[in-house]
Formats: sequence, C-alpha cells, structure tokens
Amino acid sequence: MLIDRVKCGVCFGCAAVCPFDALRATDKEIIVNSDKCTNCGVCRKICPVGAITIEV
Amino acid sequence: MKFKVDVAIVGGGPAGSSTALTAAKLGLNVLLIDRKAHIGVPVQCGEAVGKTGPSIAEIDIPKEAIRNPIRGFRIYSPSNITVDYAKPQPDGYIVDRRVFDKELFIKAAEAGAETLINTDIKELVFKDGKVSGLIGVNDNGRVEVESKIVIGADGVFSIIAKLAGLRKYAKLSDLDASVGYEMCNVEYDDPELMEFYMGRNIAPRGYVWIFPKGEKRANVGIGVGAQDGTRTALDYMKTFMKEHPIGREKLKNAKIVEYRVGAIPLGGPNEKNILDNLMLVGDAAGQVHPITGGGIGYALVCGSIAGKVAAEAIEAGDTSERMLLNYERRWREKYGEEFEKMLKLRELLEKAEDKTLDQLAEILNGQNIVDLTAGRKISILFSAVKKHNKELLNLLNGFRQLKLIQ
Repeated sequence: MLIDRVKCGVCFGCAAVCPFDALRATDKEIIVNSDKCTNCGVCRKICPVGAITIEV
Repeated sequence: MKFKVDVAIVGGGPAGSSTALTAAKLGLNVLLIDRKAHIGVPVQCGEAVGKTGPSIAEIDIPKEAIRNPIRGFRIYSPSNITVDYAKPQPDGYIVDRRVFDKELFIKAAEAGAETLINTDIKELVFKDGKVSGLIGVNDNGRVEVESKIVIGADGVFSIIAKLAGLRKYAKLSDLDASVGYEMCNVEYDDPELMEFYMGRNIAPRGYVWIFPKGEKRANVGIGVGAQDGTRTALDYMKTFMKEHPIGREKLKNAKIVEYRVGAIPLGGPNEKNILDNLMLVGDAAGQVHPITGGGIGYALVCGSIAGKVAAEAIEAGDTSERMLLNYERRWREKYGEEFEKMLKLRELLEKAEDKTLDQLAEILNGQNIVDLTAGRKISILFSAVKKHNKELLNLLNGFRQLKLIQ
C-alpha cells in the first residue's frame, strides 16, 4: 500500500477503517506499518482524494 | 513534564472544551490536551450548528464565531426539484470553526482548566487493570499525566477509544469520505437557507452542500459513501462544480480560499463509551447525526453532561464504571432514540432510487412538508403515491413507522 503524500489530506479515514491496525496517524501524516498491512485495499475505498495505491 | 489532575481530557474540539469548561466551573482540577499547535485548524466540517441535534437555545455558541443566521434548508432532488423548509426566524448558524473551537478552548482555560497544546498522547496508563493516566510527548519531551478520570474527546479517529478497547476499526458503511472548500463569490439562492444536492450520480449515499457564510462566502463540500476506488469524493465534487446544471452556475465565479479533506462518522454511537475512570465524548463516542453528519451541538451538550458526571463522581470518591454509567444513561436518554431513528431513516433513504427521491421531492414541495411533519394531509399523500410508485410507498411507510410523519 502506497500513499501519495501530495494528494493526501491527512483526514485519518484510512486509519479509521484499517482492520489490521496497520495505519497510524500523526498530526501531519499517515504512517504505514508494512508488517501489519495485508494490501487488502479497504483504505483505498474510503480515501476522499484517491491518494492510495495498492501494490499487486 | 508531570501532571496530577482530577480530569485529563484528550482533544480540544467542542466536546473536549465543553467537558473541560463544565468540570473546571464545578471546581475540578482539569487538564485539556490537544495534539495541534493551532486549535480549530484545519477545519474539517460544514460549520453548521443547530439545524440538527440540540436547538441553539440549548447550547452556548461563542458570538465571535457566528458568521450567518440560518432559517432552514433547500434540497435539490436528482432532477432538481426543490424542497424548502424554513422557519420565520433563524434557528441555526453557520459558524467559523477556527474561531468557534478556539473561543471554547479559551473559555475552558479561563474557567480554570490547564492547557497543553502541541502534545501527542501515545498511551493510556493502566494500574491494576484500570485507567490511571496518559503518556504523551511534546517539544519538552515526555509527558506523564496521572488522572482520576480520563476523557477521550479526540474525534472520529479516536486514539483513546482504540486504546481503551471501546472501538475497533470503523466499517466502511459507517464513514463518508468528504472533501470541502471555503469559497468566495458564490451565488447562493438565499443567504439564510442551507442548500443540499442529492442524487446517485451527484453524491452516492451522500450529498453536496452549499452553506452560506454571508457576503457571497460559503462552505461548500461533499460527502459520499465508500466507493469501489475508481471515483473519489474529490472526483464527484469536481464533476458537480463543472457539470451540475444548478451548481455550476452558482459556483462559476467562485474562488477557492481553503481546501479540506475529512472522514464523516455516520454509524451512530459506540455500544459503550465508559470504563472505570474513563469516558468518551463527541465524535469519539459516535455522537453524530447519522444522516447529516452534524455533531457540534451533540458534542457541546454531551460534553457538559460528562463534565457534570465527572464532578459528581470525584466528589463521591467513586469514578468506577458503575458511577460513570450516569453519563451514558443521561446522554442516551436525550439522544439515543433520535440516533437510532435516524440510522434507520438513513437505511431507507440509501435504498431509494433517484426516481423515488424526485417523486418524494414533488410531494414535499411547497406547504406540504410543513403539513406532513405536523401530521396533516397524510392520507392524500399516500393515495397520490399509490398510483405511481411502490418503492416510494414503502419509503413513506418506513417514515410512518419511524413516526417522522404521523
């Protein structure tokens, strides 16, 4: 899972829906824990700005 | 830095500041903590107060934050049939959240609450299995807080709710993705009406809003249900601005002066918002209108209930879950039924096709909406509907079951 930092508005929507607790938010950015992320893509569906790509 | 307080509140938005203000006024030793360096920024909100939820008479709105009085709303159906609902006098406001949040925060501080901004809370501390404080970090280094009661007022993505185990992850169906702007040079119809635009192609499972802030300024935004990932909320918003027959005219000279992105919680309250020594308030508790996404009024009232219960608990020397149940009980008494009803109404509206929403708009036009919400003319309505649309009839029956119409 990759986040386009330019598009990202840091709304925390992706972190809120992540079933694997793989996303943490600071005030300024979303941090991905790649050990926990399964590339399930749920976060991509809630992103208001299309900042998330899932690696295949 | 080390603190020892009665109540530590995480989150300096309306919920946290309202809790802090109430608790401080009642003589408690309060610490109000926020992650941000600037309270109220960035704005993630439509900035409407009072049209849904508690009436403006019930809540204390900082005067400095009021931008524009609101009398009601105008809905544009998918085929742009309008439904108006307005009171003769203003019964809501569009506010400036930057000013609103900061003024409330200042009021809490002036009432005696200690403040700690720019401070990121990382951990809940437990002692003998019970919440006993917080650990965080700021530019001075580590922050340790020992507290009799911890309040989680840290929003839709509440860290406290997660750490307390009161909320796991949100279902996709419980969130709307949102993009919003502050604009100037907006040609709205009436500065005292909030405008909503509905339709599957306009904002699936949501709406576009134009909320007048006076002097042709407006809060303009969109909320849409989770998508398959091909079209985003931003895509829908851009399409609205360029192609919507009404919207594009109103926004053709508009200039964007602020851009914001957000997630709107619509899933209703958490099942449980208390533990021993802990309460959740506001968005963190899911105290948000499940259709409009409005939460400011609820946050203020529920925050004040939490502040009072905290004072009662500390005076009694008992901050156990059993004692804090008073908070849960009191706020649910006020709003529990309304939230449940609105969740069901949302389900009904989500299922409705555009054609049905158009027909509904035709029926609700003019005086009818006033009569219907007052329980008049219902039989005429149902016989008119029976002729052409079974789905609409089902929708109206649903309304009746929810006692929205009588």
